[in-house]
Amino acid sequence: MSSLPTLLLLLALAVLSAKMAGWIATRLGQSAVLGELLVGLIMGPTVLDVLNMPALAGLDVGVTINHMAEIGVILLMLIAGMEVELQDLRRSGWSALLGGISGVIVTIGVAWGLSRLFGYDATSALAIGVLVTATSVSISAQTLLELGVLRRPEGIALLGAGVVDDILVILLLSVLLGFGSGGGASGILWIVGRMVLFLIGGGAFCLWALPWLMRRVERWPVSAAVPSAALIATFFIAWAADALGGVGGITGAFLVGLGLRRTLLHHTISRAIHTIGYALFVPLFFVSVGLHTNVRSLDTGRIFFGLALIAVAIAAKVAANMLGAWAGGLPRDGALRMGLGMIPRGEVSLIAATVEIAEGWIGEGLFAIVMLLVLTTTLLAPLVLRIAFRRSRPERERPYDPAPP
Amino acid sequence: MSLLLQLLLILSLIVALAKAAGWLSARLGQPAVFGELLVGLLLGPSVLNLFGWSAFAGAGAEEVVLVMAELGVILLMLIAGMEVDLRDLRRAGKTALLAGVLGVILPLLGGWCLSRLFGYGSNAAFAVGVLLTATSVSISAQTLLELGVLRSPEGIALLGAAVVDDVLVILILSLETVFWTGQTGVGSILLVVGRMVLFLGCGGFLCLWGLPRLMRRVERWPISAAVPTVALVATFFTAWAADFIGGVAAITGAFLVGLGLRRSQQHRAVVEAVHSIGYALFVPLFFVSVGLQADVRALDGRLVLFGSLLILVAVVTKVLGSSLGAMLGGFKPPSALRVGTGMISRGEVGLIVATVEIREGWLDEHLFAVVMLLVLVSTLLTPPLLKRAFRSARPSRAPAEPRPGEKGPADAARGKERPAGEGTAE
Repeated sequence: MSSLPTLLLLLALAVLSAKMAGWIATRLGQSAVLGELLVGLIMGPTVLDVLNMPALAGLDVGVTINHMAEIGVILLMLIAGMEVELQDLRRSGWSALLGGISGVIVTIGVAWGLSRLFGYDATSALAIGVLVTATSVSISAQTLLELGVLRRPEGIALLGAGVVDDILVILLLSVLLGFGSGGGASGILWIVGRMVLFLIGGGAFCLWALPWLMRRVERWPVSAAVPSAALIATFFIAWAADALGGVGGITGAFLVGLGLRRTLLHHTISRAIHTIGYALFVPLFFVSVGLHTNVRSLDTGRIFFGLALIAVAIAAKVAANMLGAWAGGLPRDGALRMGLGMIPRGEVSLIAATVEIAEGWIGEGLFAIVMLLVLTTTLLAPLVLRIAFRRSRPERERPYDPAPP
Repeated sequence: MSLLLQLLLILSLIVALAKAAGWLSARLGQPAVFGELLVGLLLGPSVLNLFGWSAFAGAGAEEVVLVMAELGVILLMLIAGMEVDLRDLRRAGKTALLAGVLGVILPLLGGWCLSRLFGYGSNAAFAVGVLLTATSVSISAQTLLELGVLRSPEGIALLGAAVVDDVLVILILSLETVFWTGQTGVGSILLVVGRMVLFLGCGGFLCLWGLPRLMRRVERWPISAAVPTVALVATFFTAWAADFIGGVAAITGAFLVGLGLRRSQQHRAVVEAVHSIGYALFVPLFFVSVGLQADVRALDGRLVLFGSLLILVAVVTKVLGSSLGAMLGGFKPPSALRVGTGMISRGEVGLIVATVEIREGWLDEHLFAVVMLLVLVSTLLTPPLLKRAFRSARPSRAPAEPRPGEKGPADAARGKERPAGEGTAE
């Protein structure tokens, strides 16, 4: 059996089961990511170990799937960038900014302390801190939308804080990646210089040149011109971010997303990228996360650390965000609700984990913990939010759809 | 550089160059495929040898690109299936059928004879013959459209004959597995044929009848990108089943799915999505990978002679066969010749057939370069020849003008074959 048909079968199975699980999860009132992750967990070494089944042994289809999943990460960051609404930030003002910043800093600090207690070195502890801080507010936004309270002050502040969170995490990851390679004082200067140069140059290119370019591309007599140009820009900038800027490829993809959001063709691009991403590469990423996780490899020490980390990550995030938002001018109960909305972790945590493991800062074993964190928080957040909002009356609101169309 | 980095750079480079070349060749009045193939030739071992560079060597980026190119083949076959309009066939009737059938048989025979003369075995010669059969009329259709004669009897017969050609090539490729099983017993041959018929029957039924019904339900599912996802899953799964259950080439399955999706009400949405996925990433990778794998420098004197003769035979037998068929179908000789001339051009399907045959080990790898030359030559040759053939004829008024290019020339040419606004309900 040549490997192409096997690859096709595996692709069909992975995408199909991910989508089915996402569908079931949606039906049960959960986010689709939850189902897709669970499917990956089942297909992975924890339960079925699909990639090592005798029918597939000896063929390197698993390698191909991994590469496609990595492209999925890039596309997911592109989509994340395209979904950032800087207006949300402007509208919510101080409470979002302070809440977002304090949430990130405090969570990292606390997680760092905990990891040091458990014997991790300083760099690994910092890497762990970044992992557990990345929030995915889309799940909370979905819940608030269902409750009809998304356009309240705390809802808008939540969306704004989500933007702050995304950008801070990307920046932190970039800094980590820059310094991960080490070096003396001049080395550090060089690293910072490269990074700043890339962020400014790349940022200027993405935010101003790209929209202009896309407008011209649209009229070119080339098949699928706009999606092609978007993909080319994404892949190239992602490469440049790593090779030239020394920051992660995902930073580049995120920048391109921010730029594409500003184009007139935003909707066309968004639809094409959603098709390319969500029909093939992104489900592969979620499944591959499960394929890399072996829950069985966790020993009791790790499990204890993981549980403590999850508890700390949730508590620190909620408390710090609440305080920040309160300082920024939200009333106390509103600030609490916003803090609770910052509980869910999702794609960005998993992406950060993928990157950090690839760089060798954290062991593969932590993947299972991150996965557990994502699963727990996505389960928990909607429940908690519903309780927190139960006493407040719903108000009429403008539709907002953070989920892909 | 790590593998992911290499991959990102290579993907962006290849797609960007392919699209730029496609744009350039569209500007020069050639189909986009032409430019994309040339870019591949340029990047491949013939000239620049991209994957030999120290920046890209070693980490395995080449394998990933080639695998993605193979996915591109599958998607291209899906698109080809979605573009088959059985009504073109019905409209043209017997003429198209005869022109299509004879246009396949003569090149097959011609290629077989020539290869036998050059010392190939019987099976290998057949594989070479199959290479010569696959026509891509999109280039001819584009030319006829410019001349305003696409809806003339000749034009309609040409489109119909192309449908026959597509289907026959797929069938012949499936049959070819029978020759290569290496078994001679009646029982084992029966088994191979039985599997094939079983797959074509069941798979065909599921795709043509089941898939449109499934797609209608899928549309309402609360899943992100539900319709494209199901289309892709169905394609990959059927392609696998074609190989595993039917013992035929995976592309056969993709083609069947395409035929089925064409009949669904979500046809337009699926086409748009698959075009995005295909033409923005996988298909350019395939066209470029053709050049990456074809080493023109590896051709020795004997192969060059064989290749040139093969291209000559491919052109002549195609014109002869299709013209003859059209004449038998009731066309006068000048009109029949026009149909035959329109069938000269080879394109995607020929390359796909070559890819499949080489992967299966039926075909000498060096012939890849020859097939590529065939595509390039026939693509260059067809428009001027067609224009000359039609010069004497007065342009008949086209009943429905096509939509102005909303997509690129490659898709537009196919899209323009049909009058605007026709529904898809069968």
